[in-house]
Order: sequence, then structure tokens, then C-alpha cells
Amino acid sequence: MRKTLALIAACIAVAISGPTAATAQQPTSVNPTASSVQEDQLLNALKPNESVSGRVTIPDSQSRLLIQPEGRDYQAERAQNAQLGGYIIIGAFAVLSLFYLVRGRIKITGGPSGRTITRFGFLDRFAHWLTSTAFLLLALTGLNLSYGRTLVLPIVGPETFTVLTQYGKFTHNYISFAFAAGIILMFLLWVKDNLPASGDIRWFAQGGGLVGLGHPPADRFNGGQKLIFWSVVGIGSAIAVTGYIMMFPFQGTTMADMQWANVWHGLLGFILFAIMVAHIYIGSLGMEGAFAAMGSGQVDANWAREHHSEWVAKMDTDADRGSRSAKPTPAE
Amino acid sequence: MNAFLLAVLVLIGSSYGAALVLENYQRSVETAYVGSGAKP
Repeated sequence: MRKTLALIAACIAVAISGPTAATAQQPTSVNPTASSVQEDQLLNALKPNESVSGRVTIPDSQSRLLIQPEGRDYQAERAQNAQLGGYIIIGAFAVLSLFYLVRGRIKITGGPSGRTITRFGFLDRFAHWLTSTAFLLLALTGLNLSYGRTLVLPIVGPETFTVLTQYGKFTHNYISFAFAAGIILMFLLWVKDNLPASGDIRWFAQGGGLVGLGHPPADRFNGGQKLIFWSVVGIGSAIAVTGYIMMFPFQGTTMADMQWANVWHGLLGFILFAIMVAHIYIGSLGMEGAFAAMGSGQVDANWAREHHSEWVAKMDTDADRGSRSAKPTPAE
Repeated sequence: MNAFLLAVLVLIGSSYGAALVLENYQRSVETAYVGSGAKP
């Protein structure tokens, strides 16, 4: 009896476990990746100015940012700007070369008189050379940051390029303060003489004397020089601000702000460099007698009458007024 | 002194001064951050 019951129990146990074991060996039909999101779906679902970020406990809060789709637009824009910058700079040199070949050096019509007038004092010239020297160093180191890997590295090799660029970057960062100080000083010294005036329209209408239509009258600064002044102050300030945004990162700025600053810093730098190439040209090779204004501060009287006749007239009037107001000394 | 020469001297001096101030500031901030690995 006992053996029969045991046999029946064993049969029942086998009957129950048989189908269960068979079921356990069958594969499940669940797809583990069915509910996961593809990267392109995620990026397409993100609206402008959105990003994928998590939570972090370390002080660097920016590290929580995982995906910032605008970064791809930034990369594309940066590449475009580098190409555009090349066209701007090469274009500036090309136009100036053509102008020199056609127009030649602008000479003093009556020849130098041999007499000089003080055009710029010591502080004026100091402000100019502080800003311009800083700008040239910033431009060269900045151009290396933009194009060095493509143009300089193949020539000098990786070891030299590394040292050059490392010191170039430090130079670029720390000389910026002298550039900013120079812009502020130039603004304070020259803003009152660079305000737009009605004579500037006449000056531009006559091509500034560059295209053979005579020498239009001009005050201390002509229309072209006023353009240069406001370009340096305006574009130079914007370059300085965007540069300091990058030098002191994430001080109230987001990732998008940093990208915006990087793009505009480079583009404005290219534009100001092209303008300064033209300024350097006309102040040296392009015009006889021009360099002396910032070199020694003393310009030839004939040069001054040709290019800044209204300014010379004012200087003569002030000189006459001064000599008339001086107390006469009795003859001995 | 020549205006250009003074400008160059001021440029070099101000750049060197800025470098001293900012590099020291960066070093002090890094060493204050525990886990940065920066040595005081």
C-alpha cells in the first residue's frame, strides 16, 4: 500500500514538473531595447535652448551637461567663420596691393616745406603705440590659434608648434589688459575730436582725396580717421568683452553664451585686423608724411594744410590769439 | 623717453603683472577645491 502511494506521488510530481521545466527552457519574447530611445530621436525631440543634463554633487555644475545639441551648430559656425576670416584677411591684402599698384604713394603736392607743426603730443603717441603694439601681438597669437594647426604646424613641427602656441596663448590672454587700457585712454583723449560732423559727408563725397578728386578740407580727424577711431573703440571693446567672457568662464554665462562669445570674438577679430591693415598701409607706405604724426608727433606744414586744412586754420587762429593777448615787453 | 618705448615697457609690465595675479589666483582656487589633485 505504502509503495503504491509513493509511486502515485512520484508520477504526480513528474507530471507537474515536466511542463514547468519545458516552459523554463523556452526563450522569452521580451525585446530589451524596445523602449530605449535612439540618439537622433532624442536630439530631434529637444527644442532650441534645451539640453540633456543630470545631477552632480561636485562643485563643477557644468559637468552635469551631457548633450547640448546647439554645440553641433556652434562647431559648423566656427568652421565657416574660419573660412570667412581667411577671405577677409586675404581680401584686405589683395585690395590694398591693387590700390597701391593703381594709385601709388600719395605725395605732398607742393613737396615738403621743411617746417613742422605739432600734431600729436607724448600722451597721444603713447596711447596709440600701447594699443597698436598690443593689437599686433594679439592678432598674431590669435591667428595662430585659428590657423596655426593648419598653416604653422606642418612647417615648424609638433614640438616647436606646441611651445609656440602655449606661450602664444599666455601672451594673448595677458596682453589683452594693455589693449583694453589703450582703448580706454584713446577714447578719453580723442572722442571729442571724432564726433561726426557735416564736413565728413563732403569728405567722403570727394573720396577722401584717395581717388584723385583733390584734397577735401578736414579738421583734426577726417571722416576716414573717425571711422577708424569708432571701429577700434567699438569692435575693440566687443573683442575685449567676448575675450574676458572666455577667460573667466561660466561666471553667469551658460555653455551657449561661451560658444556665442567664441564665435563673435574670432569674427570681429578678423574684421578689425583687416581694418588695421588698411590703417597701417595709409599711415606708412600709402601716404608721404603720414607716419611722422605718430612717429615724432611733428608733421610737415604743407602735409597738414593739404590733409587737415581746417585744423591748421584753427591752430593758426589760436596762435594769433595767443600772440595778441601776450603782454608787450618794453624795448631796452 | 620715447613714447613707443614707454608703451612697450608698460605693455610688458602690465602683462607680467596680470599673469602673476591671475596665475596665483587660479592656483589658490584649485588648491582650495578638495579633490582637484593640485598641490599647494
